Amino acid sequence: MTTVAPAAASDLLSLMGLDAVTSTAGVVVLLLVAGLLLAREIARARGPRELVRVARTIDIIMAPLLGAFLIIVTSRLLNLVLP
Amino acid sequence: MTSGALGGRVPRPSYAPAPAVPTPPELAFDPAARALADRLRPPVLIALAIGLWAVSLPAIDPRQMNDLGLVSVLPVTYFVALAVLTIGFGIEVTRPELNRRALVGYLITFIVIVYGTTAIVEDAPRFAVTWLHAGFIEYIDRTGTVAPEFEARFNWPGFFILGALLVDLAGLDSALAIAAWAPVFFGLLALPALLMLYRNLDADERLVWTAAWLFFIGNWIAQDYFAPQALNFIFFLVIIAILVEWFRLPGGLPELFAHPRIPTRVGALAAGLLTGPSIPIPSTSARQRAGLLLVIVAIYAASVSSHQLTPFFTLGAAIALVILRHVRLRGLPILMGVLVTAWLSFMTIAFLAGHLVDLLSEIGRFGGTLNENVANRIQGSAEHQFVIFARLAFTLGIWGLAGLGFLRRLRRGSLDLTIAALAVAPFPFLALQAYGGEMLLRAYLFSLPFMALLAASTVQPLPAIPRLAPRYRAAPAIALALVIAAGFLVTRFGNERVDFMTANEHLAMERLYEAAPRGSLLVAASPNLPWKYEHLEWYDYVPVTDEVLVGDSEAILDILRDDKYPRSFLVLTRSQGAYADVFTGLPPGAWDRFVDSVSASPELRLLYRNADARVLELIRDETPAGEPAGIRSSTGQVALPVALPGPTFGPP
Amino acid sequence: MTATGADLGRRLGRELRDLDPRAAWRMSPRQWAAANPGFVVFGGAILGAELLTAFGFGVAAVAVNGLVLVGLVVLAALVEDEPILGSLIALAMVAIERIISIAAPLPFGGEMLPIATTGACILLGVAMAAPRLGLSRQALGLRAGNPRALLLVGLAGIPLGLLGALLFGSFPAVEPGALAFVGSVVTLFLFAALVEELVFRGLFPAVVVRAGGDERTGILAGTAFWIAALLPTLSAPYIALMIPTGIWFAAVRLKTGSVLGTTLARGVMLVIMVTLPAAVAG
Repeated sequence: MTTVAPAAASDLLSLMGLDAVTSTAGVVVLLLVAGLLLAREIARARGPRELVRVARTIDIIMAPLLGAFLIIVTSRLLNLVLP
Repeated sequence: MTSGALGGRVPRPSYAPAPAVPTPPELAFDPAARALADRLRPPVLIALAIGLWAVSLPAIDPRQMNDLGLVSVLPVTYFVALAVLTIGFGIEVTRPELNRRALVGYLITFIVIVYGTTAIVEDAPRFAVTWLHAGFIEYIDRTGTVAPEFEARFNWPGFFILGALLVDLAGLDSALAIAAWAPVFFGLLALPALLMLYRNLDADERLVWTAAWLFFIGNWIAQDYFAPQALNFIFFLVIIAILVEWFRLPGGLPELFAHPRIPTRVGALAAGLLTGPSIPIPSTSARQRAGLLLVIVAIYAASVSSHQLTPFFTLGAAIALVILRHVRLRGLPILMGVLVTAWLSFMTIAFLAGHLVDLLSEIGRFGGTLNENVANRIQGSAEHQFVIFARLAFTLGIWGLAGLGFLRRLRRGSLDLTIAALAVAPFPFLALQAYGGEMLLRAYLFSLPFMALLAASTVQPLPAIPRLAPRYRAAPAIALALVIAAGFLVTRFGNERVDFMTANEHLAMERLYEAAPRGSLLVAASPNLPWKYEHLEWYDYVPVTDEVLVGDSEAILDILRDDKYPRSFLVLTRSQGAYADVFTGLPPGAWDRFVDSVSASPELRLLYRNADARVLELIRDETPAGEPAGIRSSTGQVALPVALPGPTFGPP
Repeated sequence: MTATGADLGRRLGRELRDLDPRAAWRMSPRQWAAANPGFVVFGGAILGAELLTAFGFGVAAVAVNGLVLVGLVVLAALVEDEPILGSLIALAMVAIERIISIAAPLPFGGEMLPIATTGACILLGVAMAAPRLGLSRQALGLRAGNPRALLLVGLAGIPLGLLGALLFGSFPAVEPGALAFVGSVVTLFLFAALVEELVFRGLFPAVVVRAGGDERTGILAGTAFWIAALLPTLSAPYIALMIPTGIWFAAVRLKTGSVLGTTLARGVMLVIMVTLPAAVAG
């Protein structure tokens, strides 16, 4: 009933299971996060001109993506210990 | 002059090369002769050291070692060789003009002599775990896969995959062919990385060379054997070296103290203290920097996939460098954190599934970790306990020298926060994990490059000693180096009686593998033997140390009698006996009595025996009557025990 | 990119843009779309991702949204007109919201905790974006305005909630207990309602205005993407209700200049939708 947690997402989770969802969609997030972090550092390393635009863009989108990454990692680890 | 941190006037840090030891007037009259002597001295001394070492080798019999380890069988010529190298290096590093080739020559010779001796005098690769690593490589080479559910270390398979590739490319039968030379190989790899690292942390070149020497002579941990840790330590050095060479921030921490809110005098004092040596930053193009960054990330990714611990130590060092504004790339620690966390949570699930709770329970157990790392190791024979205490003293000694070096630098007006931070960065991990009782050792290893640099500051620049003639100023430093070298031999090779494996033991294992069909049970008296190097997944392995300690042969037979195995074997080797003697403190003769008692059991038959090992098999009811007691190969053929080349014995 | 947006931006400067979000010289929706083809392309990709999610291809949707983000970064390296780049940040937030809602599930916490975690991440993103893009709280619609008007708008959430409860197929379960209920209410207000309004009717108009468009363009675009983002709720009647609701929310935002009233309305609506069916059943 909301855009932040629609039924389609919970249906997918029920269908695939947490491990499968995080192993597929989660890997996409991982690649995104790692790739963007690397791109930001390359932008910083290359010089101030590219630093301003690229690095700032990445700074903005990186915060929620890092949050997503941490949730995914926590999820996968907790899934190991929770009954 | 400037106001120092400790009050009073202290000279501004001078990073120009230290003044050379002055030439005595009576020797200064023949410059040509002196120049010739200076040119010839290094190769002559190095050749002398190598010659003395070569002469020592045939006299070293590892079988005669006592619980003090290799030092108990080293001839005098070996010690002289080491002394020649140490004195030669000490003279060379204090000369007016540095001869870099000579210094490199001394270091390489030291690495080969000290780290390579065991590869020559021992007829099989040392350390039981070397054989296990060879087994991992053999598994990957044979099957083309890894098996993380089967063995925890397969969750970090990078080193073993690389090993399998190397074995294939080189056409080797097994990684065991090269394993013995791993310490020399990794030592030689570490040298250029260390020099590069040190050159960017301090401008005093004599200090740089002295620190490199101290590193190799302080590295008693011996984690440079054929193992992922050895390769990953090189990764660590290379990454930090690249960061401090090419990504150094010009201003650094002192810039923070130029803030208008900080009082001028305080800011000037702090900036003066924190201003490090003026070391030029190599100019690089944007493309080169991007390329170097990719190299760092690639190496770190390789480290993440091949070792559990090194990525965290590297991350800790990177965090220290970023916080202290020593390097740019502020986001690099985040990227590193993402990579290592991703590997843990995606690629090591098989391992974490069974161990996560245990790992988490170790967090914060600092006392428990210290117990496992230190207190629990102080056991075994009296000589072994001496080795343990020597190691503790040696470690504290290195750290003490580092502390003195730090204070000496502070007195000279320099607060080396970067070097100090890098030196202590590994230690917080003690509060997170015991790592099977080895975390303190690993922390020592990863702090050693920086501790060595600080420790070198106690003797570089050479201190002026009252009543000591200037031409002898280097003598105390050289004497100190000789003491450290002697301690190094005791601490690094103190367990050698346990660690070394023999060709006879290897031969016994070969015979065992020929006899044991897939699915068999292999039992040993301890994990210290050269097994698991091939067909790792074919067998179940059970070391029975506790039962040996109490001499409980019946308990061992009970394990062997387990019905779920078609055949059960017991293998007893010299190395297991050494383990029992040294680490568990079995009384003299107890091991031999145990072996004889077990071997005499009517339920066991002797399959193979040589001077260093016995292979026994449990006699099962299914064994058809009349079948000769022999070695059944995996194809089903039976071979009678035969006299094998060398000192072997037939069945009783 | 046509020269219009860049020329306008360079001529008028950022200060003039921020002064009057409805000035006559601002680009109409059609002009703005023509001046910002990147926005249209990325917007189309995001719409496609929402459809993929609705049809059960969540992993593919995550990949598409990921490509949108990568494209945005590549564009940042190539495009020099910074306001145009900034306008794509709003789309990035929509993409990130979908990525997190699919790829970052939790093994516990029922159905409220994922709302909280996703919403918190998006709020963080908006908090990172606002200062870097120079967006004031006013520009984002975070101003109280007339308290009576705010309350009246909020009360409209009651009939909306009743209708939503009637039309929506399934409801997130709320754990029993007063603490769980309070937590659910806070979650729905802060991490669902506020996030939606802040992104779709706060950030969208703010970045569009910043890039030379007028406020109406931004609010309409935001509302359109909000409807698209509701497609994965998989309830046609509910979506049908949300279309006029969205238009009305847009009108309120345009009239009051604030998202707080619509946040209140949306929050009330969601709370009623969650609690009423359980109350009726119980």
